[in-house]
Amino acid sequence: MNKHLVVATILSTLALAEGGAWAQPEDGAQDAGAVPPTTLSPMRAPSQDAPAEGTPTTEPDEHVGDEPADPYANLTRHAQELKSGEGEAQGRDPYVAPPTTEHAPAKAPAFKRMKAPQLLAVPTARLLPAAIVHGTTSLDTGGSFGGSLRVGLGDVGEFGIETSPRIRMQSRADNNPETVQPLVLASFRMGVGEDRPFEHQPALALGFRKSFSREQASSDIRVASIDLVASKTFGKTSLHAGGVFWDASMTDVNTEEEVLLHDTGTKRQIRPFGGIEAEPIENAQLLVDLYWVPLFSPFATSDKDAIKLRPTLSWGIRYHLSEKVSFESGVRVPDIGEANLLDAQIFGQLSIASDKIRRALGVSK
Amino acid sequence: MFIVDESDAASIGQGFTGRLGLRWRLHPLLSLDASAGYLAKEPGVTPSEILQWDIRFGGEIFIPWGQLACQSISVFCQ
Repeated sequence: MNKHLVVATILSTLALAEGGAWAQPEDGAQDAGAVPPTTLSPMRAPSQDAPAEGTPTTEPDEHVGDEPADPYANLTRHAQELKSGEGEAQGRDPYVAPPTTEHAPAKAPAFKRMKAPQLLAVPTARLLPAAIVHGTTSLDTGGSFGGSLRVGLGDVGEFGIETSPRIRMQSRADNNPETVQPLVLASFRMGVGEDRPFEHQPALALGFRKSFSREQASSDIRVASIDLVASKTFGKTSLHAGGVFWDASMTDVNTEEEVLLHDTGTKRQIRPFGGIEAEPIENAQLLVDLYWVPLFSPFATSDKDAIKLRPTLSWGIRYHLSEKVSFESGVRVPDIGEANLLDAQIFGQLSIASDKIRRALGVSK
Repeated sequence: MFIVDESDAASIGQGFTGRLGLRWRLHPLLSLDASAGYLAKEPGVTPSEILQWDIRFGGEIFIPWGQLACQSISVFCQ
């Protein structure tokens, strides 16, 4: 199942790339990563300094500047040339209309670089724009695979499916914890953007994630979390802070004995988290975040030790390869409470966004 | 054969349910719903046990039956 999930996520990410990142717009609309159309007309370019012999010379375009262009100016000029024979005298076929100086109306870019909906581990309050699809694929030096696919709902929510490489299980007391994989989670987030109801208000989002059951080391585990996060941008720096409320269960498949995190007290379920995002160079960001995730220990002697939340520290960079594609890399320390750097993993992640569905649906802000 | 569990006396309890979500009117004929919420499936389960919560994603299609009936068989045209 693991291999199938890896292949499925890679294929879905590639499908996003095929459909959204590098495809040319069929309708001629300006693509986000494309160079904007030039404003030089075919008549202006060669005739400004030294007009070549036989090259039609014209007056400067009427539409250059702030004044709007007369859409019939070209036809009017052609009719006058036909009447006076001016065009024929210049060696031009009088029955062929001169090249038009009119420009196709420039369309507004359909997609701009959006702010990422997640730091390295910490969710942000930035929700995906409506009908934007966002996919990620990640791999680390421990062989753990992660991926996500989410879609923006009406600028106020998003729905997604993901696999997380951060939730771990210590299957034996003397072993290092291993990643629970694949642990598939569904997520739903809703909130408001920055400065949306009033000025200087941070973006706020409430998220809920819940996993499907996953059996590992003769234990059936499930997790769920609710997080409330605020994000605020100050120039080229953004701060993200919030709190997460975790719940988890672990059931021995042989004895059917179940351990629940919420049975050990609410205080053990709530943790704060936060992160910083700085952009010292255009299109390159530095990221640091702290998050908490459950650690399962089936062979622990007490329920409190069987499921506990551990702090995860991540730092790294995000480089925007284009408006829709970004690459992230960094270091993840799964448990800074243990101060064991040998557990640290270097990871790489590719993120791709697509506005194909947004454009197909005609969704505009 | 279905056997009723008679170990406990039959009873009707009460609980509550709540959902939090959004409705996106994507088109005059189509809207999408997404929500997270709590449904008390077993007695004694509290909302803080968020493992019992769920996520729902759905939608509504509005079909103008009256207009279709009017155009096809000329009824409900008034």
